[in-house]
Amino acid sequence: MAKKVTGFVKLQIPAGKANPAPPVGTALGPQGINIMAFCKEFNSRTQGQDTILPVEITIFSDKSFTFITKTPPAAVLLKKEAGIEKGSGQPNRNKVGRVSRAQVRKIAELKMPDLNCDTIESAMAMVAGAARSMGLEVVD
Amino acid sequence: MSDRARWVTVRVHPGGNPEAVAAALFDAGAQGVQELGDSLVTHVPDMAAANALLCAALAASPDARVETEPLPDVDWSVEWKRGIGVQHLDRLKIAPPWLAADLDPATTIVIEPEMAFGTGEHATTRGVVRLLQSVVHEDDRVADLGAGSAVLSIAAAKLGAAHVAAIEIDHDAIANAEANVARNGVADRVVVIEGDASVLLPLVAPVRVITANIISSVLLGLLPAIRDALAAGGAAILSGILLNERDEMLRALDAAGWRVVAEDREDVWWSTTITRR
Repeated sequence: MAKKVTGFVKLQIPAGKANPAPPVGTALGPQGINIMAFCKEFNSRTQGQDTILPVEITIFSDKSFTFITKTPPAAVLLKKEAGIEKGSGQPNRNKVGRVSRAQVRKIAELKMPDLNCDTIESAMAMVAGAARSMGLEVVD
Repeated sequence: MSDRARWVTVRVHPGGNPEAVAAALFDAGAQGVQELGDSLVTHVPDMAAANALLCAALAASPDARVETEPLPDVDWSVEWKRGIGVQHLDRLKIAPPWLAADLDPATTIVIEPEMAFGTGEHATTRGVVRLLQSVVHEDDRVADLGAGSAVLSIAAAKLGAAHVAAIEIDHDAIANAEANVARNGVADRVVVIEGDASVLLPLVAPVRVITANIISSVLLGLLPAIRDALAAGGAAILSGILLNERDEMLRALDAAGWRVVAEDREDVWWSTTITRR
């Protein structure tokens, strides 16, 4: 018989660095799952990746769990491509860097499995929008 | 644990641009973000850090709304503790204190489940305890790297080891490890040491047995120190390795001059006993 799902938690945490302090502990603790076991498995599966990873954890009635990691947020990938530390506080007025169409395409291709897009062009439009919203110019 | 407020909860309703706000929170020092409905929730140690997040969120999305409130420092594992049972692992058992009363103390490792790793509820702990039973001899000297709750150190002592160094880098695990050592009556043989295994291992060497239940990348980095610290005829037990990392680990062990003498598999995890060639 299939196990009953009792909880679903979405987190963004640095790859390889989950620990039982908040927010992992505060998010998973009330679900009654073994927080340390989650941290160990997440860190094992994501070690060596220097990025923030979205992770979706499904909790079952017997307190067991499974999780899947998603592709890094577009903002994180854009910062890496543009070589900037942080986005602009005033993206319309204050540009902090630029990314090329080719870089936008590269991110769109990586993000494609997690985006609600049918074509690479619409994925690129989403990534370009994210770039502009953090003060990055998209150039040819 | 006390219920004093040790954390501040920061809840952000990000307005139009949740992804940029999440990125800004990380830029401003957040260690993780939970997506809870339409809001983003994170936790920081004090109000100064919370204010930094507030400024970052508003800069990323001017229509964001930010709420803060103190968060009591509670033991989030309470719910999970209720489901913990006795682990039967060949000659040894692992049990929480409330289930240990009727078990033989000579062969039972009693672990108070706290936030330190190693309660017996994880496949990697069980894998090492199974392997350890054919490795530890009377009067052995042992080093346990990444000792967590000290469960493996206590297991080694109950199997006859004369001296065990339980090395753990996580400060929050030390008190739990020391309490477990005392509770099991092995404080005369197990010493809990806080610090980096690669630094401390040479100081407790030579040892005949080394246990290391960590993760594969850290294990690979520790292999040279493990090699140098093992006495002649010694063995190391490695765990925290995913089954799909086994082939890669076997190649790395072979290249570094190690021989695999035993393996244990449970769930998605692989543990192994290795000796020098």
